[in-house]
Amino acid sequence: MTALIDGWRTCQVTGLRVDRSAERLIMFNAVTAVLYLATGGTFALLIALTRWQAVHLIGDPEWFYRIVGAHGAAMLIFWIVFFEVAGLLFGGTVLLNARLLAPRLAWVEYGMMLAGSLGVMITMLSGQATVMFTAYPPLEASPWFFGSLLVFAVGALLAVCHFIANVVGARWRGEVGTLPLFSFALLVAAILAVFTLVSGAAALVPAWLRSLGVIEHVDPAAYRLLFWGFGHGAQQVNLAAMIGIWYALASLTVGARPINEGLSRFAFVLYVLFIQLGSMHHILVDPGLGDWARGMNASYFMYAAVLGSMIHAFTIPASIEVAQREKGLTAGLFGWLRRAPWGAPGFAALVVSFVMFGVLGGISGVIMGGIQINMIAHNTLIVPAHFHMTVVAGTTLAFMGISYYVVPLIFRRDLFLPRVARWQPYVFGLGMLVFGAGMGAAGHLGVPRRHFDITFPGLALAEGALADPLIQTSLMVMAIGALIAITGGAMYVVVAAGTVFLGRRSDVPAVGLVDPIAVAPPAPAAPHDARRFEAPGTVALATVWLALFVYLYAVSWYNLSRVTWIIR
Amino acid sequence: MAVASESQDGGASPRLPWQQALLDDVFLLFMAGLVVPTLIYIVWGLLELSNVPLLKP
Amino acid sequence: MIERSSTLVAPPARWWTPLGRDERMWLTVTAVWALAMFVMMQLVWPAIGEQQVTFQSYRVDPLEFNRLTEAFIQAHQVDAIDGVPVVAPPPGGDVYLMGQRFQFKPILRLEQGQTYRFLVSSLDVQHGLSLQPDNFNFQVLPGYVSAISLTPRESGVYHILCNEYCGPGHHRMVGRIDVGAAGQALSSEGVRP
Repeated sequence: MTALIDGWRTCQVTGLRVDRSAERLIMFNAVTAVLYLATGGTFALLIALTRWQAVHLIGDPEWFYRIVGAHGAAMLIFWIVFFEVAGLLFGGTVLLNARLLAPRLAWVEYGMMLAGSLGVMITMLSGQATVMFTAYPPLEASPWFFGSLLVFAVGALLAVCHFIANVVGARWRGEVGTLPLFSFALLVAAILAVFTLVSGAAALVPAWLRSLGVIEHVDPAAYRLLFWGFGHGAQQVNLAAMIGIWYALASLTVGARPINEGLSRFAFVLYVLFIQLGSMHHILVDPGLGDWARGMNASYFMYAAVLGSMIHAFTIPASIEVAQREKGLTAGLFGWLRRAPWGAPGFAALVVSFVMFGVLGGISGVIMGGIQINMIAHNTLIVPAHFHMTVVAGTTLAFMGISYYVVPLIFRRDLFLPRVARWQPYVFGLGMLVFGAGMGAAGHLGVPRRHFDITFPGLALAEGALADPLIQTSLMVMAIGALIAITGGAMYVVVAAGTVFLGRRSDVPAVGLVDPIAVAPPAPAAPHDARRFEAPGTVALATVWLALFVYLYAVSWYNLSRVTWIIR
Repeated sequence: MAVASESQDGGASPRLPWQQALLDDVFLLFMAGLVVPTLIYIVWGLLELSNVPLLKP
Repeated sequence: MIERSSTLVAPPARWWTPLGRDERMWLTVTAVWALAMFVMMQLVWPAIGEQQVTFQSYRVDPLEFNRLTEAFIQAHQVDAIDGVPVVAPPPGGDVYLMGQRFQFKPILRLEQGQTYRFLVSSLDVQHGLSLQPDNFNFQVLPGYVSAISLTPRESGVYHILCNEYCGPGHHRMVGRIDVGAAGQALSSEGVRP
């Protein structure tokens, strides 16, 4: 039976206390997020089948460009931010045993975000803002588009500040000591989000005033600088949230405990300080900026934030390995990995997301974010190939993985079709792998992003351009990968929506694997010989990963040197 | 609120390492997260843009 | 005895502990790699590479840039394809290249091995200069000029694709550069159509 006292209930699975007012908000934000994911996924299908030139599904370029813009807005902004706000509400109240500071305000935030996001989608799809979600001036768009985007951004900013106030307040009142690492990661994500949204407002307010005719001119270079503080910054919010979720899933599924609490937190602090500088990656081949402004930012301050990522890349698998070894799975270097719970969707999502982000998304981002190498990547399909590996294969899959826990626990219903959930991360991951390979290869061969038809029918001037037959093959591989990934995405939507609306009601909902250590208080680590590695399997895997990084880095410089033109 | 009494009750437990105190300071973290990228990315970037000379053919 | 905690619960009261052997090793190796990448990008490649991104930038009024481009075309035009002027500038000189919806103007005839200072800008909205098949890319902004020194080392036909969305005809925005073999390309130099 659920204990219900004064607006609280106690979760019968985890023992956590849940503020009912926060709970309802989590539900609404999460459901809205999944609806945007389904919408954006449908657009993804249309886009992939159009860029597969042999199919070229959408015949009208105007509609193609509208849908590319709406796909970007629905996925990169709305799915992600609504889900993150749900996560912040969860991490800022439930996990801290804290109350929501101002539930009414939280509903205003949700209302602003919903109205703003609908305004953006309507203006984009009705042709009043066919400007992509970047809306670079001096492209013209309806003031309703910029206004809606601003309403959404202000709503999101309020939600983020609400979360920070919740945490800071609970700390100052002495209700919580050190935050759990997962909540700390969410706090880091929220701090990154504040910078992101302020920078976005600084870009969008002048653009909105221009669309109203109040001002005449918006400097295109300054807009790009500020817009990408928002556009890329928002993805750094994802990064921090995703890594927090990786830690959380590792704890939930195998009872992982970070091998060094301070090191993991230090890595997050490197994000807070330096990760936002990576916004520069979008404007490396723009006029106006000097080498050191570009280089210091592009390198996230001498790769300090990349160091943060490389720390997580080690400590997460190491904590899994140590937890597994403590369970007695000590055979050989990788016995702990072989005997891992591969059938649990939370663990599968963690591993697929971690590997695809780390190997494909992360490495590609660091390399193409080099100021010179960016010349052979900028605005080609390599760019969306990179961020589909980070935001889709990485963040989105991590969000899916954690929601296999959060959705049943918050809605108090059994996970719907658990056998579908078990396969979902693998199908999705396989699809994204094929998709990324095809898209990356096409981009490497020079295919531009956001382009309706690279065969240039009837355009004599373009004869011989992008004629390499490998290009068409790559685009076909990309589209086939997209079809597989969209199938995996649809499987997720079926499980999530099915759980919400059709799952069996239960106070002890079936959520799959929860290791008892995940919700147990801190306990001593098992002793080990300090002269030997505690996680030798991880040391081996991480070394292989770093070698691959070095190799791909070297190959990229070689590719740049193969450009036959001298550029100075 | 066992956690709170442990972390607040400085007298009974030995002094916490300064690194831990620093990493626990959420307000400092918040300020640093705003100030550092604003200076290095936005201010530096806008300064560079404002110093671009006029084209003299 | 070191205590560890799940990421979902508060850590022990005193959680700052020294790094273990695994973490010390990894932190050292990756910090060295991070610095190496920075040195490569900021110091090594600028000293040894032939593809640099250090071009000079200028501000310009888009209409003034249009006037300069037209004057450049007037002075060196040799032909026209589909109504787009073809220009053969003197080797080693300045080259004006302007993006406008939905064309790059003019089409260029260059000589292999010669260095040209490209002055690139836009008359209207943002465009992308994507030179194929070599695949190097620059953003083109109205009101700003990128002054990039380019030396084609191999003769052939190169295409410039617009790779920044610029409106409904974006996918039809293509320019061209013909590079002739050294000493031969500009047999028509100075000849007016």
